[in-house]
Amino acid sequence: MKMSGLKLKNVIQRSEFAVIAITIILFVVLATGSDIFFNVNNLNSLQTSIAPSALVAFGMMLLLILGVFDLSVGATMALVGISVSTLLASGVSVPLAVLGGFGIGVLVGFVNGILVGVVGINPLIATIGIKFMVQGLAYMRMSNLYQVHPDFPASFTILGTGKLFGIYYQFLFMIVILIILSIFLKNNGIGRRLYYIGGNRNASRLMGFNSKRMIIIIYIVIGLLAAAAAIFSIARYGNANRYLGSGIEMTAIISCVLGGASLSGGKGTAMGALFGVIFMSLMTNFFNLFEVSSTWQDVVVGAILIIVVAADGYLTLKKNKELGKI
Amino acid sequence: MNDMQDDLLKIKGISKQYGVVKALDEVSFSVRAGEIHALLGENGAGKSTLVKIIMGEERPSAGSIELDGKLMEEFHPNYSRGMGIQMVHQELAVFENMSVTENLFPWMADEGAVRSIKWEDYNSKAQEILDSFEFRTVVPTQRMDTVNLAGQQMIEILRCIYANPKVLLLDEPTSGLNNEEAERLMLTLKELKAKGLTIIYISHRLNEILDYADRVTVMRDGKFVCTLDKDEMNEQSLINNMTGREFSSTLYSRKTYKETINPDIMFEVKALSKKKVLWSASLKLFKGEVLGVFGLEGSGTDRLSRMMYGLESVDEADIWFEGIKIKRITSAEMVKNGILYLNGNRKYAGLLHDSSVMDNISLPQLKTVSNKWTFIQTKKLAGITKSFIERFSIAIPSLKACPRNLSGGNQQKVMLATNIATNPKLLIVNEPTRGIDVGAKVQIHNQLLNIASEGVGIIVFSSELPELLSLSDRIIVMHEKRINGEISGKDMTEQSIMRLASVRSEEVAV
Ligand SMILES: Nc1ncnc2c1ncn2[C@@H]1O[C@H](COP(=O)(O)OP(=O)(O)O)[C@@H](O)[C@H]1O
Ligand SMILES: [Mg+2]
Repeated sequence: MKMSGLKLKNVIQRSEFAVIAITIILFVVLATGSDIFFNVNNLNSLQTSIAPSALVAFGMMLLLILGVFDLSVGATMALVGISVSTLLASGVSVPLAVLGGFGIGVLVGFVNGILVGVVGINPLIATIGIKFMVQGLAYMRMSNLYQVHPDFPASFTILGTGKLFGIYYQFLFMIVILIILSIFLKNNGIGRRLYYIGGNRNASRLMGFNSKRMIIIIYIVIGLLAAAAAIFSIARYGNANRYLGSGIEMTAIISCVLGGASLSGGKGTAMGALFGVIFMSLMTNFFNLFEVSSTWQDVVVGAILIIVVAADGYLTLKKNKELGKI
Repeated sequence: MNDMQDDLLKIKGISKQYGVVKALDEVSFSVRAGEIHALLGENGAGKSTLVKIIMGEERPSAGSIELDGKLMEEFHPNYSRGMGIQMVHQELAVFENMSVTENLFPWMADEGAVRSIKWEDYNSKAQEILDSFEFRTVVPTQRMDTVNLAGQQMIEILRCIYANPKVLLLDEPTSGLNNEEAERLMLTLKELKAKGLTIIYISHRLNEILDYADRVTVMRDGKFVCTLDKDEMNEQSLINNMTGREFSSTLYSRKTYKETINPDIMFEVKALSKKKVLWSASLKLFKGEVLGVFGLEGSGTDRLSRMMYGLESVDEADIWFEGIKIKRITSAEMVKNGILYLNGNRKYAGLLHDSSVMDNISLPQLKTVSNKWTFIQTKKLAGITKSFIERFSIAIPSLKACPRNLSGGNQQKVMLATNIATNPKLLIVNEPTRGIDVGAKVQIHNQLLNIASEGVGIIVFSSELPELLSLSDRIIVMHEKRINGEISGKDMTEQSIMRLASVRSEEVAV
């Protein structure tokens, strides 16, 4: 086998190749076609939309690799945002309020993990049920208020607005998580185990892997990441409202699938999730900057999603036929 | 082999019940340290179930296992693995989304949570393993889904061998390999045996067993039959023990064969082939006969049945029905021609488990029970359903009962009724009585013979020899993905068929 040929083929066959390619194309179009793309305001809003979305997408990616997913992340973000701002408003110190937010994330994740991993409820049903429960709790806390106490202490607001060399802390945090997850998924035994379990649950059982425990842990991780995303968001905007995180579960899943994940599990990378998110954010940006009706955005995103998934399915089918497996 | 050797593994009175099926019935035998111990038996004899229990993947209903004088206290794969047992699965336990290296070392994650994997070490270790086996067609970093089935099987075997087990269980490891690869594997097993490894080995290839096994245990219908020493092992003794069932004359009553077969061909498959799956297979069904197709695990019977009905793609095939070539081989086209396929796997195909029995029976003939406004005439439907329930003596609480809550035998009858209700011209049945009780079996056999006598063509694919013998006028036997021969009328005996099923025909002839 020719080494060089193999390498090029490997790059193209990497699951995140497609999304990186279309993201770069979109980037070039925006950079050359719009004079306000590199505007500081635009870059700022891109950073602060990408960072929290990417954190949630990372969690979703871990779940998708395992072959499950979570539709309750958006609701979790709302509940965490509202709870943290209520805590702050009632005078709780910043570290404690943040800790409380993470506590909620862990709790929701744990319950999801038990329902899916141990009780064995289909993740669609389990996490939708939890979504409604968590959402209900969030709305209850909000009662008829749209915003909760907007006067956050400065030491909290800095989490959302602080920058280092023009880059938001939250964006840097997201990059740190990206690096950690990438290493974890590629080079750590436990990270690899996600791929084993997601790739073939039955064989994993025969190998004696504890997939139940793994599912619980990863649901807790996505709960934590959703909490972090919520905290960064409310700190940036200075208020919490019940629409925080609404619909983010779908964009996260779409981002991950664009980035090479599959609902049947066993594949995907953190980098793929990030590029999926960047692509989605650039799409929004594109429709804003070129002043196209944003309703078209949904149509385009849907079409791209289906093309990417269909192409992947077609290639898999072809490969299996060549190998005489079907 | 000397008889003074110690027994390493003692299987004591192991039983395993799956619903009404007794997969294992008080099986007891011992395996000596350092021997290759073959397990032999027809499909469904319980071999896989037994090794799964040893591996801790299934829990026995009764009985115990001793390894090296110690009672195995738990049935869990980690426990068995900890005791030094490894197993090559009949249905491969490979991870297609991962590299060859990762498939060879699935336990590398156990080395520590925060440690990072030394890929170079693992890859070079993997390369060494592949080299030592002269397995040159794959590289360690290759993704497993780009490896063909034989290669995947090989990798699972290597994974188990290089985990340094004390006892190695292999469940039909050569079924996906070609002769050369199988030979290579057997030589390796011999080398491993010389190093003191104990091997339990399931295979349908008699030659392999005769050449390499030190002893063989034969199982039949979930029961232990005998353990033969090397000097007692020959083709004849093995075949006799595999098949030596006492015939219960009422259960499998031999019918009279159609001696003069009607020369009109009803259905013909010409040169059906698919690369790596099936060699060119041809078969004819004459008018008014019941044709049986027999083969041991991995011989390709199941896939042939599916492919000739268009349930799986083929590379090439011509299929003729009543003198006319079927244009496209799809199940829809078959149904249009009055050809139906009855799948033995009740769980996955053939029944709507949560719809009523009535709905199940009506489904294929919605046209006949609907009025001109396409509304279903419930009364007419109930009448038809009732007549079938009586005819097949299906025991159900009401017409509204769902198949999910019925016994396997009754499910199978509902399935057969559903099919026969449409007045098919030809019925292809695959394992019509797998896993159901004897009474239901006899009833299903009688129904099949009944409609056959009314002129419906029947092709039965079954791994149960007695069943085929009692149903068929002629039996086609498959071996290693090709049709190995056919036997008809009085020449059909368990022995003659088993021989065709386990030895390539050129070898049988001489
Ligand atoms: N999970 C299961 N559920 C129900 N029946 C089973 C299951 N596994 C095996 N059986 C039944 O147990 C019997 C023995 O099967 P198996 O051990 O696979 O036989 P063999 O390996 O000798 O072909 C068969 O009748 C089979 O249908
Ligand atoms: Mg078996």
